[in-house]
Amino acid sequence: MGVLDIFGYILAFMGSGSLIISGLGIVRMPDIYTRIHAGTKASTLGILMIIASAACFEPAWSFKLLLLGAFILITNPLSSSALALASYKQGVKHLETSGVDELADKIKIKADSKEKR
Amino acid sequence: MTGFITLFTLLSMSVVALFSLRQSNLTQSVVLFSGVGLGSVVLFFIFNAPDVALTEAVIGSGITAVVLLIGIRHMHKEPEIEEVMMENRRGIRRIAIALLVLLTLLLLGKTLLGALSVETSNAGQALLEHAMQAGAANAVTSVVTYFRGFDTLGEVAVLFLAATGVGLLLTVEKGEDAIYIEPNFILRIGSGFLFPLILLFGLYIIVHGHLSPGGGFQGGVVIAAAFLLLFLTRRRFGLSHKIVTILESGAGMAYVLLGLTGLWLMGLFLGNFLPHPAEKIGMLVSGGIIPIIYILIGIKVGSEISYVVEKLIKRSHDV
Repeated sequence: MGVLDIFGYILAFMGSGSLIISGLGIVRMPDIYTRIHAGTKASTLGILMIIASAACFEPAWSFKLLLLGAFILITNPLSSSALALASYKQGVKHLETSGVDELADKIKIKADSKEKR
Repeated sequence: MTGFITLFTLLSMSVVALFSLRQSNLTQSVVLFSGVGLGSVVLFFIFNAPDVALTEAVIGSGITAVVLLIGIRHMHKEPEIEEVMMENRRGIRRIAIALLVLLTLLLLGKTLLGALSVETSNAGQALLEHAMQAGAANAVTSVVTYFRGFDTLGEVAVLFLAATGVGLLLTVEKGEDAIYIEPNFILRIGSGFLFPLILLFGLYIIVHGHLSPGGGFQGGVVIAAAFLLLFLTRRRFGLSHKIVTILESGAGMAYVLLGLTGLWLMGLFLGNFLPHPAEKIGMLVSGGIIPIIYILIGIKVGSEISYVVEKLIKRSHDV
């Protein structure tokens, strides 16, 4: 077993741990925004780690895996942000304890300027 | 192990399908329906059909969902249709649930029987032995473009007819787009990064059609999905009609011309007249005319589906 293999095992272990935390977060978090948060950040990190570990096991695939990683790095946050914004515009409430709602003023201003047009 | 995964997927598919039927909100029902598509992707993959799984992943759980959602948005603009739907829905739902239960029972019974027997027969393996003859590493490709190349020409023609029908029904007059959601700023910028990556993936699938799962149909659909992303995030984006027409009809004509050349040189329509030595199987440049046919199919399918998607999205208000 080479050094790369050991490194790959460590990365795969950490990545699956991160994915487990992400899954746990989706179940345990109280409202939709925190759930999206857990489902995006932790799972993106986990998948990237697993892709990196795959690159350690099979160095010949690294270019394709790099592209795959870039793809996931873009799509995962994008889809989550679209989901979160869509649910915000649909009027899904966030938790009272979440603190300040910085988007409230901006969305309102946008709606006003639309009415004027 | 495979039996367990199959059973689990089938069960969860039926549960999701039932939920999708029982939803009163049509949008939620469409989202759940695309979940059923995801389940069938897993099933196709388990049963050694990665080519079909790829298509299902893009069409079944991607483009179909978007097209259905667009249809729902159009429906909400005309409330009368909605009322008629509500009256009919209860009856339709009962029939659909009955059919679904029957289908599920049949599938479950078949899977259980299949799990009991030692090994199910595998048509793919038998075909793989004949792949040498055609000169393509992917057995499915050698069937689609070589042994049944003529049928594929027919299929592509059917797709062309469907695209023409959609174009005739949903002709756009110059007006405002009916479907437009103010896109998320992050999504708009991100789609710019994403578009070339998806396009690259589609081209990769098309070019490697004779080596790995996928091919012209799958890659063409992936390319159409890339354009769908642009239609959804950019207001002013539109396909050039001239280019789509030239690509589409040019690819179709080239397909027929290739077939006729085969008839002329080999005495067989779509005969493989280019050299395809067996020892080159598995390399990118191999298989004679098979990769050329698949690239042509990819161009044709990609332009047709993109055209259909554009027509559906950019329908004007008063048509």
